[in-house]
Amino acid sequence: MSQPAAVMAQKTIVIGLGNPILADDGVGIVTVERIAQQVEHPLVDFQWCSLAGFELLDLLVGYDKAIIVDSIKTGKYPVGQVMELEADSLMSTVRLASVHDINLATALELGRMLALPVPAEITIYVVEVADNTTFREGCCREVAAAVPLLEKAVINLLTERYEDLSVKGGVAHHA
Amino acid sequence: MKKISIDPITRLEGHGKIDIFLNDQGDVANAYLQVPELRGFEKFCEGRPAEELPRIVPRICGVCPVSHHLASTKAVDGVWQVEPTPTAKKLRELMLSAHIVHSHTAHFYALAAPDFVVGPDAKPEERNILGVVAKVGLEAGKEVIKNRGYAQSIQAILGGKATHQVNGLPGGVSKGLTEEERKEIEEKAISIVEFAKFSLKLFEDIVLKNKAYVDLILGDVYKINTYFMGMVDEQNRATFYDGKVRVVDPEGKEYAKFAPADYLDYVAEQVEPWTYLKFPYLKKMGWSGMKEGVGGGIYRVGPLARLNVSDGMATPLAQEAYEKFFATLGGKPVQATLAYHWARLIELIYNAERLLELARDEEITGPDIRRIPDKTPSEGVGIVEAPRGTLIHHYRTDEQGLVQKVNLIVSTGHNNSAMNMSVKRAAQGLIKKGKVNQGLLNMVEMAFRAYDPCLACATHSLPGQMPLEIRIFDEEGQLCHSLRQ
Repeated sequence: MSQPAAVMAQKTIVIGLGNPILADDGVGIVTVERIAQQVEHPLVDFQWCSLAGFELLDLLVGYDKAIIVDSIKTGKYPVGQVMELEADSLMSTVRLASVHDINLATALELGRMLALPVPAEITIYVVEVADNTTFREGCCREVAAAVPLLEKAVINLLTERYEDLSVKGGVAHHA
Repeated sequence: MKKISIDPITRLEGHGKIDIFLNDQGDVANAYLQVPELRGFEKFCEGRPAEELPRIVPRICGVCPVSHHLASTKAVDGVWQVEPTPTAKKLRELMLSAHIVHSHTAHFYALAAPDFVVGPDAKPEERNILGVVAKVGLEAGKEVIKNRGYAQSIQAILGGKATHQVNGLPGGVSKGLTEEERKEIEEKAISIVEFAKFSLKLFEDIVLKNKAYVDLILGDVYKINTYFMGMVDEQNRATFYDGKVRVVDPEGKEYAKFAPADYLDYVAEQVEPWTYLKFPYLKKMGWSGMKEGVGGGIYRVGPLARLNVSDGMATPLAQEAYEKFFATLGGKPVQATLAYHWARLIELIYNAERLLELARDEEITGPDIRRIPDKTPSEGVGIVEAPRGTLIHHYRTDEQGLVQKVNLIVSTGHNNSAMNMSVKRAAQGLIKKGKVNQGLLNMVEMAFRAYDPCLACATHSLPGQMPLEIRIFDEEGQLCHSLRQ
């Protein structure tokens, strides 16, 4: 069954955030790099970077939907636990904090205020990490084990949105 | 899958902290700032080919990648004892100017303007860039986004990527500039100069024409007396990419002027047990704690420092603004911490003008972009002025060019003592008889925010910013207030 043209034309960006040389912090980047090797679609773009605030806004402009994969360190959840952030979490962080640049929610709100075409829907997957302050390549065992779960979550979401999503090179289907 | 909510008061580990200790009258006895530090960078670099470091160090954090890339590239020039070609130096400086424009724009509109345009005691939900745009208008907001984006795209043209640049090589750069690219940069630089003029005028109209704000800037609450450090050219004008490092004392007299390679004769670092971040100080004076004034050895870096150590600016509009700055604030050196914001805008205009000058330089599209190193690698120091201040990279290698030793002193490190002293001074001036509220604590934070401290990795961990926690302890050391932003 084909999808309505308006839905089909919607563009999605999948962004992996983090620092690949800062231990577990690189999990978002590793995940999205792997997803980009597995699936493709003309309306889906993949990016991985160590960005925040204004730079993230630059990436998001022009897309209808966004999927972000990042690490989080709350100390409240088991290391390696994969979670989805509720939409209200994003908005509750609209505030002035004390480091350089603005946060994601503020960046999005600014984009809307200035009539920039920012995504109407953003899904954020996070994984609880143990160490994001030590320079080291590679994640700890628990966080590395979360990567397939994150991949599955993102690919399932993309499959729901784009039924003609192409799977490259016979990689196992996640659904 | 589990769905979670992150609310503003959720504790996130690895955040910055300001601890304020009250005495039995409820006044501030002491205050300490703690910022987390990344660990293990030296070990991470050991054994790697030194020429890889310029591509690795931009990953230290996503906030000032160009500064790290260029300090590192200059350090590897030193390791191979090779002088880059004139065109290569200009291309590197062009990229640094674009980076300063980009960073200073973000800081002013996202972090400084909310306190002045919206108001220092406004509600936190309004005291942000959205509140600024609501006040200055949507068209101005669009100019902020447009020109910040222009600066970002110039960095991408020159560095290969908008962040995590890859063009620096010992002896030069890997990519030259085509005439088409030069024209694009020139057009963008023209727009950036106009935007910088607008930003400076905005500051003058909103802040300098408001006596209450000028009094706030010049008041004792936001003043400490320190030395200042920054890079100058041969005529002692402020410069960012190349020059000598000049230090002036708290009265404005030149204390030292040295070549980057000699920095260890002038700077040493103190380790304190309560924080990971070291405390650099002027070595010849020795460490005597966080002591103000002549002989104290505590110095500051960054926009205010660069103006204080220089005898002028090398571009006309910046020079005009420089003269007005010192005439308004009572001559050199200016010790008012909040003057960092005005200084930052003067640097915005300098770098905008410098962008345009370099884009129109006949050599900038020259083909001679690299001198091939032919010496045995050994040791090198690279210093540039990053947006937040002097940035030092120092590498030592074996004869194969494999890294044996790395030392970095970053801008936020240089300012560590001064930030602590500024926070303590502000807390002592603002918190009396135990009376604390959100507005007062924001005003304490303003003393810290003026330095535009870079807290590295946390800037890209969700929820997007590293929270800062302020804790107030009573005379018995019991926690009595805690606020997180």
